[in-house]
Amino acid sequence: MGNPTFLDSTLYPFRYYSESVPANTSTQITTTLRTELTALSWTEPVAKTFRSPADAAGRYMTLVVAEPAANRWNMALYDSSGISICSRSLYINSGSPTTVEYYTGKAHVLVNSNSGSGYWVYVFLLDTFPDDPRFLEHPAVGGGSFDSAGGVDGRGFLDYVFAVDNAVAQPAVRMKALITMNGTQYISRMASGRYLYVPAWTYQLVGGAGFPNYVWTGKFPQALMGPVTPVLGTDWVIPITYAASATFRATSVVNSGGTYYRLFMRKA
Amino acid sequence: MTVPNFLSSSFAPFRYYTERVTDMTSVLTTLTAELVTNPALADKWTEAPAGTFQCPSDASGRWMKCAFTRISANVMQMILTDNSGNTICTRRASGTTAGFYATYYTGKFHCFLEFMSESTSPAYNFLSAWLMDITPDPLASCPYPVVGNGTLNSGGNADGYGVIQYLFAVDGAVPAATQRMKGSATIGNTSVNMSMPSGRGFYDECLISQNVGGTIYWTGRLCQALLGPGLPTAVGVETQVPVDDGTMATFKATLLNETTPYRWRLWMRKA
Repeated sequence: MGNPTFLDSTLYPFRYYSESVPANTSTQITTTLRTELTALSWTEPVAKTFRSPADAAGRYMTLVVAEPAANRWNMALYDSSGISICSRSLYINSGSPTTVEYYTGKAHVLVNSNSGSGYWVYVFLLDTFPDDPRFLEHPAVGGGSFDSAGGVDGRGFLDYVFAVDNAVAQPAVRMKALITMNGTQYISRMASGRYLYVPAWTYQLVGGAGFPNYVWTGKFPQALMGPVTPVLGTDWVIPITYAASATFRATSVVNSGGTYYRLFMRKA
Repeated sequence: MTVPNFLSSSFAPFRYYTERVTDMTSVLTTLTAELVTNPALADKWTEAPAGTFQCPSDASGRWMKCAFTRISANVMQMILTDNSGNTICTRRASGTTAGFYATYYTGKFHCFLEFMSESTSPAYNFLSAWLMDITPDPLASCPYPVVGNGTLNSGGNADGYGVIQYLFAVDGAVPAATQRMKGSATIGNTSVNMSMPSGRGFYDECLISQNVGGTIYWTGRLCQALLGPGLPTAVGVETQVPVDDGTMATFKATLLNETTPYRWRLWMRKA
């Protein structure tokens, strides 16, 4: 409820850029990402190590990027406590150029390679409104199509988000679903046929083990979870308040099996 | 950002009242006051015959009718019907013969009653009726927007439906009780507590599903109601929830919560 702070372009300024990356030139992604992040006041204290602006509670993300192969690009995420959240990879084409899209912001990075069925890596510093951000000690989350060695590990879906549960970074199925109380009906449309686009809420384990401490901790800034149906790379004008709309773009990030949900990123 | 219609006090004006009673006759009298006498002219329900209340029509001319009958001093029955002639449900609620507290959450498009006994079982009973808000979608896309429930069945017995998970509504063309409300779970159906790291409650719209033309869709929201944390919150606790960037509203924890593991409770607008 309340003001959608996670879509506020003053609190969370954002950029979008798309380019054709030549075959086997994963270094190009690093070069372009540097340009995009610098424009958003990220710093690069060490080459290929990017640090986000701090949130209202002084927390930030640190990204360490690498090109372990000519066709593979890697991004490792650390939070401001120094905890390693995850290290994930994507591929670009080896024999032809690849369209790569960069969704960046003060508190997010999503790189989408349109190679194959679409590969991606992302990081977000969660928007905790209406909670005071100081109550969430570890707001940095991440994910990606492949593990740090470029292998398939079953975590490369929208379902799985890497985050800190208490003091342990781990993947879990964290995204809030449009689902009935008994868990039997995943419903993505209103009766008018209109698909619902909802905040990408995630949960974390905070303050102990077990169900009572699974709590909703925050939303992905400048992102919405919507139906899987729209085609990758298509733009959708979505109302974000009763009076305003914004353009979101369908990414490759879909839930396991591509059954229900897709992540949409703010483009304009 | 504007307040969503289902929480807007102009779109769905609301009232709150509570009192101690010893006979359901008093409840009927108060219902007349809260639904018919006290609301503003455009928000008044009509009452004909006595004890049968019809809410104002929505923009598509739909309405609901709640026919209350005093079964005994401590038992009330509600027959909920819609403008299409469907009987959505017949439910009962009871207090204790020694007296009980009756709380009335009423509005242009809702009537939620709870009876809290002073001591012995049944401790809490409720009756509910809503004309759902489906805006900004076209109203016609939800042909049967009336939903409701109550603690006991028409025989005065517990039948398993008198909990937050269940609502009676028309599926296809047939009224039925099913688990219609959006829950608090992940894509993998892992339940998540309706709270945030500070301990603040996580409050969400009460989004309801129905079968329309053979497919299950979300068809509307309960006016002036939110789904919020269950335990450890106690009945009657009040909280402030932001309903806009500059608007706070007071919601009160109702008796209508889930049994184990107590994930959810219905919170009703009080102010």
